[in-house]
Amino acid sequence: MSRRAKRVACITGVGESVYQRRCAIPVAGLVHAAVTAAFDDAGVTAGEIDAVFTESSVMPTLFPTDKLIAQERLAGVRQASYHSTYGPGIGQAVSAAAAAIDAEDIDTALVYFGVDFGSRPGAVYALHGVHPLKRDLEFTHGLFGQPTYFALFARRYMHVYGVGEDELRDALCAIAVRTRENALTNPAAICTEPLDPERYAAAKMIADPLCLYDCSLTSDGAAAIVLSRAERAEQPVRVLGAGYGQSLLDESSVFTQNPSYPRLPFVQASADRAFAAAGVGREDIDVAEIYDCFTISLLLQLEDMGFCTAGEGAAFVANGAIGRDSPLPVNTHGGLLSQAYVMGINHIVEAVSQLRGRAGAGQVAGATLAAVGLLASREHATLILEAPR
Amino acid sequence: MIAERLPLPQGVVDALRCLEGAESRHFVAMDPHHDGAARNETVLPWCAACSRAHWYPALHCPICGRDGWEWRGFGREGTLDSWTVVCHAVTPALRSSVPFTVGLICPVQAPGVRLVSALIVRPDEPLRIGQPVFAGSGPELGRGRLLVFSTERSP
Repeated sequence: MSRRAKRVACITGVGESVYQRRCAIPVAGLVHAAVTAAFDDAGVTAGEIDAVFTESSVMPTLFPTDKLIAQERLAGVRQASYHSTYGPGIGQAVSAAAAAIDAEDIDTALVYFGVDFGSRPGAVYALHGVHPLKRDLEFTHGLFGQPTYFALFARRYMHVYGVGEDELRDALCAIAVRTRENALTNPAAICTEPLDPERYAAAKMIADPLCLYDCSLTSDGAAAIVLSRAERAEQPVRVLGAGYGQSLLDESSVFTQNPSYPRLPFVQASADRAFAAAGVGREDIDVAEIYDCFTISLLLQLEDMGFCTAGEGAAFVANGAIGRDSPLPVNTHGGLLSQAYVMGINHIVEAVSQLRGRAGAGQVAGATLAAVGLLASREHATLILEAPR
Repeated sequence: MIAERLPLPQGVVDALRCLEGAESRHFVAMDPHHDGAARNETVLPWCAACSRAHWYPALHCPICGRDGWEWRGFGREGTLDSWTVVCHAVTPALRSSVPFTVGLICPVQAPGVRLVSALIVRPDEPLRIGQPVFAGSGPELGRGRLLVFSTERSP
């Protein structure tokens, strides 16, 4: 039997809360809404959940597994675990759940994530404020906040690949505009205003060369994913392959001391492992949902995940490669830039919706294979998902 | 004096106070680095086994695993590896400081090391990656005197 044939684990249900810039509902309530919707979608009850999985940076303090289990009355849970950080941790939670189901350790798993970074002042910056080295060696010089880190990447990228500032800005504008176009087809997206190149060009600069529209939203929201065996669902989305890559540098030094800077070699490792596990190529992917905390971070991942070669990303994007009608539609839900900043669990939900043909006005016709790329400062996870047969 | 031209200090001090647990503790006491800054010199931890400097300071050498560092001086000269002009204040305390320029600096004598530094530039001065920059003594902030780079060599 091939490795692929052994994979029985599927995503059988997804659910999302409302996504808002600032929401009056606490994270517990947002998670409850998402879990309820995911259970309804999967056709499971709380008592059927054997295991819960989430990431390890935000959830342990914001809404840990014990609170989830008690709140949702998950009486049958016999495994609860946290995986790596932020978006890659959510991806790892899905792949760990799938592996446990494939191994017949469990039957049904719940993956969840929720956040209130839109409501809590400074919350998104505090993620990096916990590192003493950053505090003493970076903040004291004004390198403070995620836009500044990725601005350094963008500037270095231009130099290494001989990309002019106008050329890069055109590419980043194309990413922002295409992503917003996708958000406008998604009723669940926070952003409802059109974005065109003129508005992009007039936007406030945040950390040169990155302007307002190059930066993710900050928002409140939650999502949940149910995994089980294929035969238990009407529209099972198979987890065909998963990959993870990481850096030997820790989070305090990875933005400035990465010897491969501005490249992200752990992204390549993650994608290579996922595609090898799935037994498919980049050319087979119908739709890609890729972590877009910044336009430049999406561009770098397009290259490092192997959808185009290093240094080609600006031309690739500016030539329309990621649009809805292109061979590789990207972030069809509006992404972190225009749907909501929930650290990429919305990217997994969107991939599932696309593969089930339930993406509404944003549906990519005939989508049968999706790639999800999830980035954090020093690690990356890739999922390859397959449509119901 | 570089310190007089540096737009950041009070804003950064206020911003640091906004962070939880503002007291920093490190594996390696960084006094030699800050003392070097007072002499306009880049002083970094050096691994005698690997014969190279490493930054940021770590518990042991990230290449060979050897414990124990020597601190060595690496002169004043650096090259600009990347930079950004920060225009948006992510905390209210920085509002009076923006815009300002921050760079990543490679000391010429310590290949592989990159230092974050507020970058002192002339108004509207064009910058280019690879251009020479020079270390100088910045203000006292956080745990010691800052090493701050400028596009001009100060006395």
